[in-house]
Amino acid sequence: MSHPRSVLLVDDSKFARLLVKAFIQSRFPAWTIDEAVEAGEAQTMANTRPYDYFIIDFNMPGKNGLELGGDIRQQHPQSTVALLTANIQQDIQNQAEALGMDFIAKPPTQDKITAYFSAREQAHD
Amino acid sequence: MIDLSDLERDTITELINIGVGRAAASLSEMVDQRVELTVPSISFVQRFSDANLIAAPHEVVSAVTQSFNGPFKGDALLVFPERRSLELVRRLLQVDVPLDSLSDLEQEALMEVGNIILNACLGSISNVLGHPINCSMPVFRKCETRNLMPDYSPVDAPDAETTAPFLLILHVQFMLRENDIDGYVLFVMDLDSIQTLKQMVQRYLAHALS
Repeated sequence: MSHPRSVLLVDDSKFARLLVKAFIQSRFPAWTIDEAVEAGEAQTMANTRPYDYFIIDFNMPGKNGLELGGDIRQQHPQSTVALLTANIQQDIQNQAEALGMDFIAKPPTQDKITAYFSAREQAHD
Repeated sequence: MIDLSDLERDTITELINIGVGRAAASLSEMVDQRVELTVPSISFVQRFSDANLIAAPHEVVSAVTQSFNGPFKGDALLVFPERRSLELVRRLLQVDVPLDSLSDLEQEALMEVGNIILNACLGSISNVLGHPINCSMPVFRKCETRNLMPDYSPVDAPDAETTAPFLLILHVQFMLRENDIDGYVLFVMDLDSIQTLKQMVQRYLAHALS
């Protein structure tokens, strides 16, 4: 098993953060999972410490997830950035891909979240 | 006056079917059980309160509203009876949460469900038509059914037109039998948007049938 990872969840929904955090923790109990409610807070946190993963909602007050994701990709190119969103429009998926972000369609489920991180971890190894 | 041919009406119903079907799949994933849907009904009314879907106008409901804006605009609503909403939240939380924090999470949970369901619906319609649709942030309210939408009138409508319907209401009911939870999704669009949607459906049909 690889070393414990750090994840920053960025979502204005407390409910969404609660579920995703629980799903990650149940499969990867040693990982550090931090939370931010909007882009500004996420930026501040990302400047304070490095994160292996950024999981970012699209529709948030302030900067949206694509804008934040684009900034994070530039500032922290070694991090993996994924858009986790209910907005399943092809246009949004294409924009995420163009920015080098992964795309995960909400709703988050245990299987979906585990599958995403397991595949990513295998790709890293 | 809004004039839809049988084929156009059928196509709009089918578009909504695709959207709501995707939404039901998302809800089903969240609650881990089958979600049943009714066939979408389309009605044209002059005021929201004229819509005959409001069988119980004084019933208190929990509602999540999202406005959408793109080639056509309007409001999408996810509505369910207030008395069952905690039960739905309990079903949605697949992780253990102390009971006393359940009601704290109620609004958050229902907003996120609304966000997921309405986006699934609008997103798949956008994908079929090939046009992006922007969605606003979800807004949560508890209110009586009759107050779900304001009863605005068309300000600049000429007198002769004031009796003409100018709202299109699409209504689809969903049921979670295991938990005796039901609710519905509404799309409310004004006359201009219906005309645009009609043109897009015509183009879509022309393309699909060519």
